[in-house]
Amino acid sequence: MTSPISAISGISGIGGVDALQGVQGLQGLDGLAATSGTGATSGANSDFTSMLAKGLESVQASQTNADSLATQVADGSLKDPAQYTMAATEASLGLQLTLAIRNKAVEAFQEIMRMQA
Amino acid sequence: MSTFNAIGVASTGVTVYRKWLDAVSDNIANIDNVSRTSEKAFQARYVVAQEAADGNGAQVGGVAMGNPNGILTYDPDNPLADGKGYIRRPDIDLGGQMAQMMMAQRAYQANLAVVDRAKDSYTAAINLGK
Amino acid sequence: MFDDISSSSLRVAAAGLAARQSAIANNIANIETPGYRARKVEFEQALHGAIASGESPAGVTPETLSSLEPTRLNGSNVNLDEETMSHIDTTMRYQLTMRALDSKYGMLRDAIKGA
Repeated sequence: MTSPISAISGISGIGGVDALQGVQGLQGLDGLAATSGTGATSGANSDFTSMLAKGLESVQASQTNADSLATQVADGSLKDPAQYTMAATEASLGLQLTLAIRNKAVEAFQEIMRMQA
Repeated sequence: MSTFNAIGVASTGVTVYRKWLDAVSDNIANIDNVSRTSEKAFQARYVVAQEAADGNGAQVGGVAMGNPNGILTYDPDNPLADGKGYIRRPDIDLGGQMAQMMMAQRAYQANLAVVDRAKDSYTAAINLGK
Repeated sequence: MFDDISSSSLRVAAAGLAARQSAIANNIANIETPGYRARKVEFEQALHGAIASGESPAGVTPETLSSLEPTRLNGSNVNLDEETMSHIDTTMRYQLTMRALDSKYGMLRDAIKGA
């Protein structure tokens, strides 16, 4: 079964997933475990990796946004302090969510590998 | 002070009302400041407030001076009296100045209250998500 | 890793705001001292200029200048209202700067723990 392995390796350290899409991604992984063939599950698998790729971009974008607002905080040109704290909170939560989903996906993969043996 | 805009704006208000209070207390201090008829009387100072040039708050637009003629008073025993016994007293009404002082003080306190509440709001923004 | 633009700017801002706090404390302490000139700390313009021209903000140092405002009757040129407002603004900006640094370090820590 090469498909789940490529899905897991697609999740790098700082990957990000949109909240709802992340949950659906995990359900897709359960679907992978239930089937035995390799080709039939490729549709759900590629959705998961593309969701993770999109999520990675969005976390990267929110971190970049928080960084540029932090620079404005430093030189005193920020107009609204709440904008910075909201952006920083979103970036931080986005990262934590990503890591949590990646860890769950790795656990699920290890669960599957145990079942195979 | 552009990051915490409400505090910056209120602080311009504080400056204006402080200057008003300074002018009023100066007027009251000089209310018995007599002068000769050959000179001008002590002129009351009036602070002119206007909206700040950049639209953020208020500023002092200028100072208007009061009546230079003062009130001619007959007081021959005064060392400054002229040949006919007249001196000039400043044209300042103590009651009017006290009323102005109360208004200036009320406005000053109102602006300080704005700063206080704005500080609370901004602190909540800073602690968001903690 | 810690020398990207936002981290260096925040470090410069933290140093500048701390210097401003002590300048304000000095000014308020000397409010009745004849001949005293109020001290002002400047760093925002230099920081903004460094970032806009692409140089590293780490080279910006806060500088302390003497105020040229007119003196009052007692010979000191400290304006209490201005110092009070500046103190409030400086304190809050310092809190926000610390929050920003904390947030950046926190994300790095999460990434380390999460691995």
